[in-house]
Amino acid sequence: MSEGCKKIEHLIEPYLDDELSKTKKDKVERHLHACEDCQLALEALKLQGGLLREEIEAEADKVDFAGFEDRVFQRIRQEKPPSFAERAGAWIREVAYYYRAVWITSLATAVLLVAILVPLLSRDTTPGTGPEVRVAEADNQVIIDSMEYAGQRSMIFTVSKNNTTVIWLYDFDRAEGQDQGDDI
Amino acid sequence: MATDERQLVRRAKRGDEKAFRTLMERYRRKVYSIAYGMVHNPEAAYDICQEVFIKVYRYLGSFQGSSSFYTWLYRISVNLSIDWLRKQGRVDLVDFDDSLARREPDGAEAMVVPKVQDSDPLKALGRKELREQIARAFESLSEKHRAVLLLREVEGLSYDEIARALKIHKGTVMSRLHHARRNLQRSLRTYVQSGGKEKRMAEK
Repeated sequence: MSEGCKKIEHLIEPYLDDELSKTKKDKVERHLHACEDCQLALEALKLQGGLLREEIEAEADKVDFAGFEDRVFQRIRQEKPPSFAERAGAWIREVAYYYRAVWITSLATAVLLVAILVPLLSRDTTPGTGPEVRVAEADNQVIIDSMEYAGQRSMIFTVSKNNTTVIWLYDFDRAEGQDQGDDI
Repeated sequence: MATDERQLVRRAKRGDEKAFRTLMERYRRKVYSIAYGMVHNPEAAYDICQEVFIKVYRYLGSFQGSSSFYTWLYRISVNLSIDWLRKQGRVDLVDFDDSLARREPDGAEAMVVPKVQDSDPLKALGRKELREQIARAFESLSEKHRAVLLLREVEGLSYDEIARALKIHKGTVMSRLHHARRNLQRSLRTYVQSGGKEKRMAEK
């Protein structure tokens, strides 16, 4: 494998899947034009994708879907509908997932505001008391708080001793580590 | 999502059975393909296909119009298929595919297949055999790998759409696709190589 191949190796699949920008696409095409090995690698990927598609299509061709919709409606009428709580839970999960970008930004802003305003307000509302006194009073206090939703977590450590607040926002791939099947 | 589909979904949400019927006609085959690809059992796949639409009908109210209807539909299809596999005790607890793939050095393992395809007199037969082999190899992949491959190769979803359908990151989609394809390729290569040996022995 040449240096040129190594440079574009990771782009072959996104190229095949039409996921590259125009610049990267051109780069891959220039290389493919000159490199038979990479052409073959691409052809092999195309072939196996095509074979898989043919296989699944052939299986789907065997199915007679006549009366399918009627059977579905029949079952809908016969089977017990989900409870309000189940439907509400599904709705919340969907909303939480699709608007998580907005939620996370709002949460982060809210957390920062609280972190900044609380120490400031607590000093302002106690005139005559120096910050050193308050620090001494609140010595050894560590508040840890955490929140979680839609696969995102945030953890807040507030250390009163030196007035430090650590906000730790992290997310984890729920699908990797946990069950996926509990969604609706 | 096409305007006409948006309207269909909106009408179905309001309880319009005719609109829901049209959605079923449009997607039943695709849902069946995903279910079949996941469970490899025609009767179970047909049943899962029905269950998917029952669920869709019941939970249409929770569907967020900001995403495509089909990414939501495909997610339900994959999840119900995995539920079925779980009931059969057929869900992999450990993803062996990824750990195996990492052991293989990067390199020219993709080269064998096109050469077989080019051997002209056996082209039709070769393709059929390869297809059967692909089906076997595909069945041996983990359900996570099967799901990304089905959504990409059979349903033609983009990486972003797959990420939304499976609620995983785009990077995870790319990595799973890569490992899944590599495992299929390895299986085909082994088949082609052993096939070659058998043929040589038969000629002697």
